[in-house]
Amino acid sequence: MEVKNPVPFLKDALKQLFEKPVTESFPAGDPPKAAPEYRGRIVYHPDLCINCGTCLRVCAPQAMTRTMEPVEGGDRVTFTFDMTSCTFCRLCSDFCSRKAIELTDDYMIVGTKHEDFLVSGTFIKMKPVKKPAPDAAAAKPAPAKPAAEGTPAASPAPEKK
Amino acid sequence: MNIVLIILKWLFHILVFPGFLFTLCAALLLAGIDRKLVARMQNRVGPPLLQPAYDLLKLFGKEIIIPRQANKKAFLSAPAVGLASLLVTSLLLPFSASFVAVSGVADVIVVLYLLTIPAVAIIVGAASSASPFAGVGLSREMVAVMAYELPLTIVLVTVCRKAGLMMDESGMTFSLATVMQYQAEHGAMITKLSMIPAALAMLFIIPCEVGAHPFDIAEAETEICEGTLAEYSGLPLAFYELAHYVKMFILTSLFCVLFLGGFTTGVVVVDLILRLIFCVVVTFLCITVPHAVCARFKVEQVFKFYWTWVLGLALVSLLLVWLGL
Amino acid sequence: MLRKLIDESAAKSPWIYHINAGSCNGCDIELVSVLTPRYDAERCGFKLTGSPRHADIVVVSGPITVQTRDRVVRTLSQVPEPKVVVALGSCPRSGNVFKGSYSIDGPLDKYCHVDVSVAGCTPKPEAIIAGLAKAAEILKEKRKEMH
Repeated sequence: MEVKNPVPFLKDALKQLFEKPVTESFPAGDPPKAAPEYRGRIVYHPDLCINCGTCLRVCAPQAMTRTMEPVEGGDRVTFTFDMTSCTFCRLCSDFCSRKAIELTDDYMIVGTKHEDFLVSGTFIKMKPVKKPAPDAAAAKPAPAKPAAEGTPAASPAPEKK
Repeated sequence: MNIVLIILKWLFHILVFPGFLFTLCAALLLAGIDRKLVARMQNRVGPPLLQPAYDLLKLFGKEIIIPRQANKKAFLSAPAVGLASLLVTSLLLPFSASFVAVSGVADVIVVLYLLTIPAVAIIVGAASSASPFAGVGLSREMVAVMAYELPLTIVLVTVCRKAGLMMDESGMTFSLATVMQYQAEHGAMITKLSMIPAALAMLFIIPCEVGAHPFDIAEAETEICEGTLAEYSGLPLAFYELAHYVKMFILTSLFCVLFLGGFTTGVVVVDLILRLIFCVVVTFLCITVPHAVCARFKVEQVFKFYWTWVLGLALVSLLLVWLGL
Repeated sequence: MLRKLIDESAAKSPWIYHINAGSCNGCDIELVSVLTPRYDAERCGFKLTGSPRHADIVVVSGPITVQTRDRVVRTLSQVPEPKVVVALGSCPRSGNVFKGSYSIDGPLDKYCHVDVSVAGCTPKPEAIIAGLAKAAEILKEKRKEMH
């Protein structure tokens, strides 16, 4: 086997002896900022959530749990995101129509107990208020019309389908 | 009264200088400087200078686990024997032309076989470990020992003959004190043209004996699960690491005695500092730079390298010296 | 006084041993990149060893598969006290996307006490260094408790 240079990095090594090292200053200084659009720890805004449940369906490692307990007038909904199960793929944030889930650029997710890794939020989802039925006086003109428009109203209907 | 003074003097030599404490501090200093320089050459910050001391202190506090099938006596006594023989060697090396703790007529032969004992201690410790990784490591260590012993013997014989031609009527000397005296009178050995191949050969022998990077086939970390030290933990491991650092100091000191000795400034402390500076320079040349730059050799490549190139250099010197040059 | 020195040194020179218990190798690559010149962990004394008997901190990555389960337990029992177990990535704590598979046998909690967890898929090297520094502190506490 032909060996071109048996000691390849000698000049570089001796030159680097007198240069400044390229090491980052952490942990002696502050941790550096992550790249833009970094997918880090989840922040959940319960005031924006509407409890549609799309994020639960989309999450591949099933890192979320939802508990609902009935209170007066609605349900108390609690979402818990488990950081030790999350893959940080951002599908939940992409699918959320109200932008209630946000992946920040906080990458220091280090802890000793399981509780350090849970992000949860609670909100109360009120039941929708039932509207009163329309009274008989407002409904009077309506029965006169369908007799005249009965046939022309019937023909567009099959085309719409 | 006289007997008490003599005993105190010997205790001082064995325990403080140049025995236990001084060798320990010099070895830790050399090892720390070596690690820091390797890191700087690789463009990173590197551990603090006292890092080997922290390593050893931490190992003192770890639990000692002995495998069930291991031979307990050999397992625990091998590292201690290796370390003890190195500390005895430090008593034999002269530190300047005027100071040597123990001097005898056949120093060089005693140093030669004292330097084999740490290698045998590693082999015995690995053999008593009852582990296949240690078995692979010990066969590699035997190959390494066979590789470097022959050129080392020839280099020592060459230096002794060169010194003995001038200083002794019989033409041969085996005493390190005579070698230092020769260098004091005729100039350092490395300035003689016929000794330069021998000095180069010695510079190649030092990393293999110490177990430094391109030639550390015995303690190959990633290849064979730490090799000979696979089953060691706690205090015996601390002794092996300490033996590794002390071997670095002893061998570079031997190089300085054989090739760079001879001058003395009269004050022992200044001599010591000069000797330490020379040790650091020799360590940089033959242990640190190859560590930062080279990859590990294969087992047969080490053997071939030592028995062709290094042996050739040593034999060239031997031939030149025997012809009287 | 020697005892105090030994306790202080336990946090200054922690040696790492890495076990891959079925990991996808993402976390392993980030772990060895911690020892490269850019994120140099050796200035804090960290060193990757080849044998579990030399280690203080054991870093486990990967969901514990059925095939590696016995070997992980056996290797962890070979590490001398005081020791700290670090779960690297989200797989050892919960199995991440491999949860419920036929070949995954539970979180690492079932087999040993996990001291520090560095979550992320994969965690950034700075987060790994922060986790290892915390593990070194816990090591010092454990060493003090040993006498």
